[in-house]
Amino acid sequence: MDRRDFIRRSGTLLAGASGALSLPVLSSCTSEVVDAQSLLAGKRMGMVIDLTKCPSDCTACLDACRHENNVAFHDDARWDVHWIRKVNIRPKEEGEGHEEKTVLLMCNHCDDPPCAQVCPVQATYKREDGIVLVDHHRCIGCRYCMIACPYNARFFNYKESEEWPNKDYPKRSHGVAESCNFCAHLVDQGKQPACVQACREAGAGALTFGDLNDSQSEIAGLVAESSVKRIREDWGTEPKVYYIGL
Amino acid sequence: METAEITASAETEVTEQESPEVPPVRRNGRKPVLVDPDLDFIRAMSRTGGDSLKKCFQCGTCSATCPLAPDDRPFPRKEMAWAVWGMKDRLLADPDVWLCHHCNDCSTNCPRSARPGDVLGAVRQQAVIHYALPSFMARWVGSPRFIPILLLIPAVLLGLAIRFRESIGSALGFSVPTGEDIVFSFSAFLPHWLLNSFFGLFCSLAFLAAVAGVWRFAGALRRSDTWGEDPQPVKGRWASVITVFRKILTHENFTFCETDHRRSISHFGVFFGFLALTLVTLWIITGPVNPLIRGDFIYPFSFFSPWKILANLGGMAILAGLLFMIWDRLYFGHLAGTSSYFDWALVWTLFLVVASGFATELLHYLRMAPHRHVAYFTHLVLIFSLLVYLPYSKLAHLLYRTTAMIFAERYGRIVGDPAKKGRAES
Amino acid sequence: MKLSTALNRENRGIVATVLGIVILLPLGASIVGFVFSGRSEVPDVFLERADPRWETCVQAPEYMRFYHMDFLKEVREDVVRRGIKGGVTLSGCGDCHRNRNQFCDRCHDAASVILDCYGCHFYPETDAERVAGEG
Repeated sequence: MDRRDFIRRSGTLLAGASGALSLPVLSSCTSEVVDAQSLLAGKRMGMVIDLTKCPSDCTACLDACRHENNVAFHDDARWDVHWIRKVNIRPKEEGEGHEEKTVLLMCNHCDDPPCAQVCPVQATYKREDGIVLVDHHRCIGCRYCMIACPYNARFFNYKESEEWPNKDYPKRSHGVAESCNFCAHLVDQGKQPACVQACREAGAGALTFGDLNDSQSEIAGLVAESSVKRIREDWGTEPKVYYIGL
Repeated sequence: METAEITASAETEVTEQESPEVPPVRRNGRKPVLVDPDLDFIRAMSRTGGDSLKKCFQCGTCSATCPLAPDDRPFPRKEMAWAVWGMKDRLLADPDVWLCHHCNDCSTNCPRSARPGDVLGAVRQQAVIHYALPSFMARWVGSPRFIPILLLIPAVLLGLAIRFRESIGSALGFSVPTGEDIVFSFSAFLPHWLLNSFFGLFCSLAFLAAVAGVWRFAGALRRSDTWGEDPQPVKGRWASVITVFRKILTHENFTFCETDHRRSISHFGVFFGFLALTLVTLWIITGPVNPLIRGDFIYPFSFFSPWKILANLGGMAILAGLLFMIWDRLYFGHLAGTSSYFDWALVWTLFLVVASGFATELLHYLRMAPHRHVAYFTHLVLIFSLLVYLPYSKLAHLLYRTTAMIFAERYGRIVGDPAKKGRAES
Repeated sequence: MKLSTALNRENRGIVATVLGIVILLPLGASIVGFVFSGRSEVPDVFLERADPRWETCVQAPEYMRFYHMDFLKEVREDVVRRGIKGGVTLSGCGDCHRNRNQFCDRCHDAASVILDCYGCHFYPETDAERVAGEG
């Protein structure tokens, strides 16, 4: 049985299991079996961060991210993991146009991700819809991705998190590297990432998430109409996180 | 056919006899012996490692240099004389053949390179063949031609037992585990009761053969002339058994060896490893009645169970000892002695048993099916050829040597210790 | 010290005694464990019987018993690498097999398999957790 054959078989099995046979064990699974390969193809998920709408003292998105994804927080800068973080940028020069800024930094989900290129076990990979994911089962903890990432968006779990706020989503054991995954598990359910939801609920509405290839989407309109910038476009990594007011 | 007479003390006084039917009593009071050389026996010994025996010119250096030989009727000179003359009955009833620990001090000092140590090894093989019941089995085990059939027997028997496990189970009152009761995948085709009854049956047969062999050997020893005229025991039965067990546990006799002193270490490792594995095996098969390990799923033990640790250590001790032995035999053959097929068969059988055991364990932990099942089956076949062929293989030395050592202890035939030498005389 | 020196005739008695004691240690451990904790080395039952409400597992029980690791690995590859989601989940095991200790741990302990699933994934054991897990 080769791999393709197995995919076909297990696909049939799973589809049959949840659908036609309606085995009682699976009745607790709320969603139908989704073959994401076909659904995701052609999409290009991205995010727009409107820094002009982002209050510098608000941490709604950070807290939501930690809670949703069980991101390890040890209250010690050496071991903390940040999928999304706020950084104050102080310009070298002073004067007009050189004010101090608060910038939200996160994984940029590059179209040409350096972290995925260097991964020796292909644990980091880009999904069909452009989201860069980490397969923590495969990760051997070599931390090449941390070195390769030009945005310093990858973090290593030096310690295992003791808290487990969201039982629906797995924790990460110590010894694996990780980064923002655009809440792929929520995206697959048709929801928005946790940070985007939290930002909207907090009333700021600074974050917009969606399919960049869908010309009807809100995000495509924003990218087309506003003056958007991406961090270090000259590196050629083609990031999919756009900033307004950077 | 030559006919000759020598004295019982083997001092090689040979005279021609006109009428062998009525041998006269000699001046020294010892009974004269009719020598009827058994040429087939000499040829058999020559084929199995004793090919140098005809070189012996009876100088006696071997007996002088042997670190184990007692002062009274020392060996191996008299055994060499008997071997040259083909005196089968004497050699097979001789305890000294088994008191020899194959140090090879005699072989390296022999001026004629007659290698008495190797000759005694060949005599021991002939003794195993002679006392084994049935003796053709020992002949098969001693010849490489029969390897396929010897391995095929356990493979076919085990295969049949697995094939007909359900009818065997219903006859014995056991049920083959199905469905919910199966935990480890091999317990479906090889449940523990089947394993235990299969090996129980054939090991009992081997045990009967071993008892018969030891019985006949002990009878021959009792009639042997080695103890002198009208022997009187100097030690109680159980006292001698305990002393011999102490000597075996400490490998004391091996430590007197000079030429092949390494055997006292390699055999020590193999011995204690074997002891450990035997104990673990006995513990497992008590499972159904042992309250300490009750339950259906006794085996395999968890890796960190003390028993499993002991078994792994024992296996490693055997492996280390065996590798030492193999290295010794391959590169120091002039010291360790010529290894006949009979010797190598035991070494490699034991090696393969341990190697296949570790392979099974490893493949089990790697969850490689069906590789682990194949390895386990091979392991069981090899264990069968080790344990059930015990009375016919070189491993029978643990029967015959122990018997001979107990007799020697009982009749005061002190081996080895120079300080104790000669005490039996007084 | 050289091995041959350590194993010379004078030391043989000590070495053999020590080895004999080592060989008898597991027996002692078994007896001590039995006497003081009344614990048998091997638990009577490894298998946690599934909740009778559920009629069948995602596969035949015999298949699951021997090959659940292969099965779960393929499910993992499907979910993580191929994006086929919504089928079997690890926390779904807990819907029927309520006691993780009996269902997973005891057998894995006996078979010397280190289980690495539930360090990160959640195994619901109470009804409250099960409801929470479904949300």
